[in-house]
Amino acid sequence: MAHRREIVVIGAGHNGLVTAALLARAGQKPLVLEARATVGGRAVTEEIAPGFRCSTVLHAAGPLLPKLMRDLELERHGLTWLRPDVRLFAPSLEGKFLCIHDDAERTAADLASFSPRDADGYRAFAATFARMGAALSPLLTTTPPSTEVLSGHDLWSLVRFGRRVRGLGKRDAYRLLRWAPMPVADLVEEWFEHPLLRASIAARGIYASFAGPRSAGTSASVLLQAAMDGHASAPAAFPRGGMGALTSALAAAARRFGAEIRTDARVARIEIKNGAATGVVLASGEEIAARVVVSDADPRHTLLGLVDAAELGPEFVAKMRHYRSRGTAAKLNLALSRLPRFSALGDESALLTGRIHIGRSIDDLERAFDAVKYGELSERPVLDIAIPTALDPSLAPAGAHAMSIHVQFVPYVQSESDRTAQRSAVLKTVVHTLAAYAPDLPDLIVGHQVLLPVDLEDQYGLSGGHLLHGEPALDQLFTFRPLLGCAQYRTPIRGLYLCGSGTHPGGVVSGASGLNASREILKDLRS
Amino acid sequence: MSAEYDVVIVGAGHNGLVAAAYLARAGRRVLVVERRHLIGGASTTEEVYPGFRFSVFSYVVSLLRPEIIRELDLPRHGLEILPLDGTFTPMPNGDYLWRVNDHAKSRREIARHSRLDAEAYDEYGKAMVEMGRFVKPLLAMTPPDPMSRSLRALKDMLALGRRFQRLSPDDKYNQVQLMTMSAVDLLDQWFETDVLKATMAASGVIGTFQGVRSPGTAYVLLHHYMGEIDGVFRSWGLPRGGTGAISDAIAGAAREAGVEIRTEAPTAKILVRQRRATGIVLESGEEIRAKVVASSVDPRLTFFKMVGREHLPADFVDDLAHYKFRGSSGKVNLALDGLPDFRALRGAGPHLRGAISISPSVAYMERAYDDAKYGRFSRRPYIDIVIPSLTDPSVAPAGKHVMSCFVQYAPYHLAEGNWDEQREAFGDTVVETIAEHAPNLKDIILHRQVLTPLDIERMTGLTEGNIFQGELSLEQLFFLRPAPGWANYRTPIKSLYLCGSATHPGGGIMGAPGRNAAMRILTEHG
Amino acid sequence: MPIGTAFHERTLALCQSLNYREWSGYYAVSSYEMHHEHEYNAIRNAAALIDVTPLFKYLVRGRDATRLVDRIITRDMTKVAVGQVIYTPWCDEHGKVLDDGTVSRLEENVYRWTAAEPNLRWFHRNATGLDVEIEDVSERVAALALQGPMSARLLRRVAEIDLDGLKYFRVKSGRIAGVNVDISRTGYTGDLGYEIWMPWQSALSVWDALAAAGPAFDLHPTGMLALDVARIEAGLLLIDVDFMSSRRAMIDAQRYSPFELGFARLVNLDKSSFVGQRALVAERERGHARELVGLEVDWPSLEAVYERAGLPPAISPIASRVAVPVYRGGSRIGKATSTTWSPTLKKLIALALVTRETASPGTQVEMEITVEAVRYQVPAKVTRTPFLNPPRKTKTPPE
Repeated sequence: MAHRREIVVIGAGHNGLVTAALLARAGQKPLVLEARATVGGRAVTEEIAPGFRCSTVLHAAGPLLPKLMRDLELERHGLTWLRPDVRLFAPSLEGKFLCIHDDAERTAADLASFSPRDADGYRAFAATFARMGAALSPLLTTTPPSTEVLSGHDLWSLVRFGRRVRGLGKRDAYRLLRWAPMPVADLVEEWFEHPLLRASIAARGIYASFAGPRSAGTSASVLLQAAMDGHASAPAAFPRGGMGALTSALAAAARRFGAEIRTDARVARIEIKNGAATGVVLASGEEIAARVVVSDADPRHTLLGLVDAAELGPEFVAKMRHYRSRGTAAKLNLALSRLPRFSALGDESALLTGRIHIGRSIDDLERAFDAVKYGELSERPVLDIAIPTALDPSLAPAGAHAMSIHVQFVPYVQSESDRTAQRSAVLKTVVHTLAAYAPDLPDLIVGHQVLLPVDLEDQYGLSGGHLLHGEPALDQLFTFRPLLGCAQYRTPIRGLYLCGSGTHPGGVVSGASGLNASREILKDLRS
Repeated sequence: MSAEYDVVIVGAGHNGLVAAAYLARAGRRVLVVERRHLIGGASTTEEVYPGFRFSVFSYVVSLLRPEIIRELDLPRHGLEILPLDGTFTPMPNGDYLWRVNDHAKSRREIARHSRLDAEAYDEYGKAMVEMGRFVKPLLAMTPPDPMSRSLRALKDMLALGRRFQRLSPDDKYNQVQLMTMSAVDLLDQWFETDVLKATMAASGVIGTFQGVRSPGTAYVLLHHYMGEIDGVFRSWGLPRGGTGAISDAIAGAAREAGVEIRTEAPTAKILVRQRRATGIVLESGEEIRAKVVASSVDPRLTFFKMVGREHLPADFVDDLAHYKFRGSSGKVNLALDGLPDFRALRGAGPHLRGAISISPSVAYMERAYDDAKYGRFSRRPYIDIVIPSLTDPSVAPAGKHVMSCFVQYAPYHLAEGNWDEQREAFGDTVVETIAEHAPNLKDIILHRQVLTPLDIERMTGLTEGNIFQGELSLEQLFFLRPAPGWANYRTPIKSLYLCGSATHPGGGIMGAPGRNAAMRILTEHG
Repeated sequence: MPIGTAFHERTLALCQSLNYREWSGYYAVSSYEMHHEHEYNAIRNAAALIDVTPLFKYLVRGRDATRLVDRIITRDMTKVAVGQVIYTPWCDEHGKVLDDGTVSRLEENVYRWTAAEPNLRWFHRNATGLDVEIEDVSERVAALALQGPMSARLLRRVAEIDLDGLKYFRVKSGRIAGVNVDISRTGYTGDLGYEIWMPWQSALSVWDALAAAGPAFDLHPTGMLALDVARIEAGLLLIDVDFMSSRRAMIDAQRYSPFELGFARLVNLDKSSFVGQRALVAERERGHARELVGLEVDWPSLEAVYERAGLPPAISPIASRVAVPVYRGGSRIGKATSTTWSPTLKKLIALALVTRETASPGTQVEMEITVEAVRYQVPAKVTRTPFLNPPRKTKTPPE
């Protein structure tokens, strides 16, 4: 028995939920189909050991667009943010550390003990990125222009953007042009002298990417980050209750506006007739007809996994197959009996409330990347850590903590024996790496969960296990994300849209892709 | 105050000479001053050992713009380009890849490795030719300044946009990929044969401090694909008499047009009065006045050594300080008593007459780069070998040969020790690496000249030994070369122009910067 | 440098003219004798043996083999029975012809596919998500065309096969000289004829068996020059001469739709999705702009042109592959791509691509002829192809 729907959204990740909520808010009645038992996609809170709950995949928002907080009334739906004082804490092996705070002045004051030159440098750097971020931020919520048919609207947004960039003044505008394609290592070397500071800033440029700091284009990720909230470093934006609380609030909002959400409903294929989407078929065999199908799944899965290749044609299929989405980051989630003691901090723990960066120098980051080029696990991986329980004790038993560790680089392996070996290698290597900074850590582990790229693929449906739905490389950003000619959230199939992180601006949890997609879908529905 | 010359050009490299020839042909009084005892810059032929004449630095030609050959009538001035046929890549497993200009033969050879690749190779070639056709006109244009508010710049930018928009969707896709991807990522989309990808990718990293997996190297792939000889894209050639013969031909055309060339005349300073260049001072103390000064040497030498920071705006100084040179290559020139005998393909066959590429796998290329990132020369480097004496017997005594080995990577900045200490170790590594493929090499070496990036810098003046006068990385190309806002051959000093490889469209024996700069000078000093 | 085919040892010994050309990387004999007259006569009056090994040959097998073939070609493969052979073009996504060839359904899920150009990569590109194996067997399978009115009789003598039951465009297995071969009733001459497909390493045995029985049937080894004349008479197109693969085209004028090439009956727009379908549906609605037709040059006018130059008419016996302009009423309406004197029809005929308005049979046009480096326009008439279509081509059982 076939159901009929106007709009079906495949996947209840944060972007799928944003799209559904915004479509519902505009009067549509979308049906969201989620393959897993819970909504959230990469933004979930799950139990990693009895009594320990953790943001298992991504551990912080990018941040979420403030507009979405407002328009979807997420606070009313139970979302509250924990905003620690410190964005990033980076210990050194010598027992020193640096911190990046929201406040540049405070960061600079801290840095003075490391390097007076860098303290000044950071002030200028932060101010520059704040300016550039402000100029770039409208891009996040702009649909990339098509290179085939430039609509009046496209032209207008380009002109407006051009004016904003010019508004930066020649100096900054030139810098923007120069930096965008540049390796992030060169960018930080232009600003700073201290290896740890360089590494801490540069790490953002290679986050979840198949890239080292010396890879061209890695500065673009830092600029994109700055567009989010004016900061080159990622924010420590933690929802109370973990990332799952964010997507629960989004789901609640979507439902209140009139969307329906079904879990345990895996879409097996998208039905197409005469070049137009006509609905979806679930793994159970259930058919749901729809006029519009929106996919929050990654582009590769959507277009190669759910659509018959004959409908797309060989050239498009070939391009999609070349879309790079082989993940090289893993997650290690630890259940700890108490907060680890970092040598650099002693008993002080307030600085552990933000993100923790492990990676001593540009060379360290680069060497970690070198390994994965040859299919090996980094000997000394780059780590981005959050201990959400530091501010939100409800997630773990009293006094105990959950530690979420993003690990780079871990090659994609598939065979069962490789997986087993790699899981223990990741655990061993990461714990060993961390123990150099927090010697008591190995003794505190009471439970652990390793998510290899292949696990992220199997369990969370991420093609290739790529956390960002595809490489954020220069040729896969903006008008080229996911592919030139299909960066307007539309696909070669009429009525089939993309709304996930594999579209502009993609990447981290901001909801911008969902926002943009919903705008384009509504535009088409109205015309 | 009267000037002795209309234009004085610092440096008699090929670009300086090209600029001089064009300016003189337009009726200007032109003087070129050269520090060394011979002209040519990095394209010189020198008899390093008695009877053995080497193209000491640059060693093949392809990118030299056909319009320059035509307009300066270089064949009449002695330029003769002999074919360099094919690329031979020996592999450690005893196999090889040998591409030649004979289509059927190359096809069979590639099909021996992969039938799919044999087909892809033709389609790739076609796509590259299409891309080359798109890029070719850009070589001869002054890059528009995107931040300029002038109507002219706006028009140029729009014209560029329209040109791009007129490409077919597939060509747009290819173009974007070329401009942004790594050579290997791009080639992965076309081919499956590792040795083929490695050898093709190698041309994407020649002269750069980047690996075959570094984004942006795909563009350089095209840069090396745009070579044109007799209207045919992608053919490489050997100038008869070595690359010095190119410089001599251009100098011949320049002299005929009235250019005066002085060698052993190193420039100490560029005279600046009220932000205007008025001439130069030689190291001898001699002052030469000119209405216009054009420098074909790199911007660091030009501005920091010859002009002086005090005459320059702070932003410009800042940008130049960030301009990356990062020499990454060395050169080993061998005088041989015979020919190398490659294990993979024995004997003195035609495979020795083309390029011989030591680039057996992508991982090999990438590991060679990894060494350089941490300040070591590659333990097993990428080597591009030619034996010009097989095609042009005039460069070696009868029965003997010269072998030119371009070696990458050799970082200018070493993490440990210095190049003067490591020179011979570097030379040994190169010989060892080749000898792994051609074991008889060690027995036939009569002389060995090892040129480290430091030597290249000392001899040619190229800062940090970068053969392109600055990295060909995305942030240093087109309107960003050498500094944003100053990609139009002009400088913050009035009447001072740049005409070397540090300007658009960059390095290689191309001549385009010299020609473009000359056109610019002629428009502004009509 | 080309190399020899599986038959090189034999053909080299027979090729007195040393007149060769390259065909897909192989040596192909242009004519065995200095003049190709006898070879042409063999095609039309006796039996001609042509080495067609340089054709690209693919074997497609697997559960989704039919889906793959059907996805690529313009005809409906699901309606083709085992033992049947079809001639079909295939297109790119813009509905422009990439290549043409024959597809033989050897078994339910096994196809042998011949092509003029390499297509392995294209087939692979279309195989995404399909359970299918594609093998390039170009260098494992040798092929001979045995063409002409006597070909069936000769084949009966040497081949163990039920030839009487083998209809036009059907394929069967059989044996020649102990070698397992496939014999299809196909060819490129428009005459009665067969193509024999055999393992590369046993190719010489098959050749020798045919050659041994040959004299009784006036069998001639035949080269490309004679074949070229015959195929123009039969109205069969040659890639790179009458059209170009869209894969190598640089401009739109060099890209041809199947409708333009007269393949309309080979395009089934109503079958399931295939490459180029959308574009072809649009073109059918819009109508195609050019069309491939036959031209018959008016002989008296041609004679008059030579007369004006003071010369007797002298037409080369070799088919011309140089495209010449075709006019109507003084304006250019197309080009003649292949032109030949037809020894059988005693006419100067050509294949030409003209605007659709001038493509209907009987339309009077003018074709350019050059005499002593002076260009003339000679009247010609648009005709249907094939120019020559003897009933023996399809008659079953064959004579």
